[in-house]
Order: sequence, then C-alpha cells, then structure tokens
Amino acid sequence: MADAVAATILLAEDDDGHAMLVQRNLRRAGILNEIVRTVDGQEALDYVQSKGIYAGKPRPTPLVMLFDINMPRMDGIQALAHIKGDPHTRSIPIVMLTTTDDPREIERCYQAGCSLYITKPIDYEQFCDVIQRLGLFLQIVQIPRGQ
Amino acid sequence: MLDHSIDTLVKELRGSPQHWSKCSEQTLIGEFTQILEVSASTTAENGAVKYAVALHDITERKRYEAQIAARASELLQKNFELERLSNSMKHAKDEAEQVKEQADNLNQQLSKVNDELIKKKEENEAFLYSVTHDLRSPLVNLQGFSQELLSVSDDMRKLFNEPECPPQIKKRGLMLLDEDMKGSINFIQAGVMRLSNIMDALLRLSRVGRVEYQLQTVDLNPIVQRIIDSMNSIITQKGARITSGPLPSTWGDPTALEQIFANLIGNALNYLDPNRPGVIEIGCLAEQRDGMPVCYVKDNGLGMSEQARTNLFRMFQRFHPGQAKGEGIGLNLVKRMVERHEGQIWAESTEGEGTAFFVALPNRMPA
Repeated sequence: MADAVAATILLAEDDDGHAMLVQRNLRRAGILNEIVRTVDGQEALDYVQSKGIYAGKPRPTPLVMLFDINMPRMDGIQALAHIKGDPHTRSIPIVMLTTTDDPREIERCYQAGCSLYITKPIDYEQFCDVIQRLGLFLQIVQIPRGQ
Repeated sequence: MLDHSIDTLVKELRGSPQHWSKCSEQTLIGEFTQILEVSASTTAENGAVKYAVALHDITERKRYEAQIAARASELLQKNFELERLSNSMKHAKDEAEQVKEQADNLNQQLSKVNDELIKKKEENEAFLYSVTHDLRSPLVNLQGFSQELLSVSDDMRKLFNEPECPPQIKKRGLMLLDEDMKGSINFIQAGVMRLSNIMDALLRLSRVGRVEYQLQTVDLNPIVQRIIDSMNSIITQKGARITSGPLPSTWGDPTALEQIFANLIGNALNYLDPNRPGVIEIGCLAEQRDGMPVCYVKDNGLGMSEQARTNLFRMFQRFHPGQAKGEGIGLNLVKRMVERHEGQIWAESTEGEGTAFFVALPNRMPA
C-alpha cells in the first residue's frame, strides 16, 4: 500500500471548478499523492509523452490518470485512445471522470481501454462521496511501476 | 367481266360481231331467285349470222359471293370495333399508368418526408442529450461550491465563537451567517437541484426514442404484481387498496411495459384524495380497441378538469403540484412508450371522483 501512495495522479479537466472540487475531495479522502492538472487531453498526452510544455520532463512512475471527456483541443476519449494505442504507455491506468452517463459514451471508453468509468453526480454530497471513494480506491489499487 | 343486262348484250352483239359477251339475268321462280349468266357471241359466215349462246346457273356462286361480302363487311365492322376497343383500352392503360406514376411519386415524397421526420427526431434527441449533458457541467460547480460555501460558513461560525471575538461582532457575524448566507445558499441549491431534475427528466425522454426495444410476448400479470409489491410501503402509508384483475399478454418490451404501468399506478397512488380511502383497480376491458386488448388503471382519487385532461400528456404539465414531487414528464414519457409499441392511451376523469387510464397494446407480433 505504501508503494501505491507514491503514484502521481494526473487530472485532465478543462473546468477549473470541477478540478478544484475533485482535488479537494481527493485530499479529504486522505490522498497525499502529487496531483498534476492539465486543462485538456492534448496537455495530458504531452505530459505522458514528455512533449510540448512537458518536453524534457520524464513522466513520473507510477502514474494514474483521471480524464474528463468533454475538453477543448483533444477530448478525453481521444487522449485515452492515444495512450492505450501506444505500447509504452498502454499500461497506465486511466479513470474516466465525467458528467456524461450516456451508455454509448461509457461503452466507447471501455472499448478504448479505460480502467474505470465514473459519472460526476450533480448532487454535491454524492459528488463528494464518489470522489472520496475513488480516492480510497486509488490508495489500494496496484499500479504498474516502471512503464 | 362486267355484268350487263340482256338488252346491252344484244346491242353489243349487233355492233361488233365475233365478240363473246356476258350478262347475267335474275329470274324469280317462286320464292327462289335464280341467276343466270348469259354468254353470247355472233359470227358472220357466208352472209349468215350465227349466234352462239351459253347459259350458266350462277345462283350458288352469287349467293356465296354475297355471303362472303356480308361476312367481310361484318368482319370489317368487328375489326373496327376491336380497334376502337383496343384504343380505349390503351387509353385506359395510359391513364392507369399515369395514376400509378402519380401514386408512386406521392409515395416517394411521403417516404422522403417520413425519413426526414425520423432524421429530425433523431437529431432533436441527440441535441437534447448533448445539451442536457453540457448543462450538467456548470451545475456540478454551482452545487459543489454552494456546499463549499456552507462549510466555509461553518468555519467562520467557529471563528465568531472564539473567546477573543468582540460580542458585537460575534452577534452581527452569526446573524449574517445563519440568516442571510444560509438562506441564499439554500435558494441556490434548491434551484440547482430542480434544474438538475428537469434535465434528468429530459434525458430520460430523449432516451425513450433511443433505447432499442426487445420485443417479445409479455405476460402483464407478473409485471403489474411486481410493481404493486415494490410500492407496498407507500400503499400502506396511504391506506390504499389495489386490486388487479387478470391481464392479457402483450407484444412489447418488458422494461418499457413495466415503466408504463409503474408510472400509471404511481400516479394513481400519488393523486388519491386524502379525504377518502383510496381504491385503485387494474384490469382489462372486455372489448378490444382496433384489435388490441385494453388495460386500465382506475382510481377514486382527485380526478381532473376537462381542461387538465386535454393537456394531460403534454410535457411539464402538473395539475396537483403540491400533492407529489415530479417534473410533469411521466405521462409524456408513458405516451411516447405506448406509441412506440403502436398502442394507444387515453384517459377518462371526473374532478373529485377519480381518473381512469386506458392503454391499448398489441397482443401479437405485427404481420
């Protein structure tokens, strides 16, 4: 468990408010991991591939990523497909965290290889509950090291 | 060989000897007409004139000739009639083809309009879906941060309660927190939750057209029984009595059928008259409608006015807003589901006496 705590969490989320609420509730769940935020899928991809503004910065391992779907430039599903399509990054766990509960969207994400799909509830109590449970889950889940 | 009269023949013979000539003569013998052909020639020999005359009976020949002529003209007439008939048939055929072409055109237009309508409907549903999802995102913020504000005000309350806080400031501060701030936040949250419910309802509506139905023969009896069982606590709480008569099997999607009846029974329970014991009857009419069995859900509840009944299936219509929670979308949803089954739904109601909903659903696979 101590190993898993060290994982860096990358949060790809274009909405500042959502990003803040997610981070706050992860902290409330006792998550002490470093949380990096990118504002869209492209930036998340750059982070993973050490390109763009992350050029020259090797990605930390272990790494787990939380992706929103609707984002400008590159949406979460495209970024997911890119990362899962690349043998070097395929084993990074990706959790889709989005307001959409469209069954077709959920299906598409699992097809593209996401590890989990979570819908953000509007009701804040439920929202907190979901994010904090996700935090607890992240604490116990085994994440591949040295991808 | 012209037929001459005998007189002409004689004249001819005189004028030009050595010439055979013919004539025919009709002789009436009793009722029988005999026709003779007279052929004659003259020769002058040694100053004497010799006449040679041959007679042929051509009665039969003439009769045949007449028959053939009559037959020919008859045939000609027939042929003429046939041609006329054939012309008018051709004309009729042309007309029929024209009509068929027009019908085909109309059909094509109709099917085009139909395709366009289906496309429009799908576009509308997809639009509704994406809009409601896009609207959800800001609601998460509104709801989340208003809640965060509440917890901030909890922290501030602790600050005001610190011993070093001057009593004047403490009093004023706590009042601002507990009255102004809390009240405002409550309004925001109630508004957001209402919006969120409406959007969920819209999403459910848009899904009605998108969910694929698994059509099969469905026995309604266990479905309705299951619904009644699941509503047991509210039935007991309302002191209502629900009876369910034998129901038919229908051709439809089990989930959609369950939603249809759950909505109708739920409505009946929600809008009972609190001043009398509620009675809800579920059953099947003896007579069919358009070949479909008709189920009903009948209550002795509040009922509704004629005006309300006309708008019954419209979206966001609520007639007893104080009586139950909801967005006024259930019956619209039910109607869409029934119509997707190619069934019919209608209601009868008397204000103060109760309401009956009738649902006609096909009982077999369409041919």
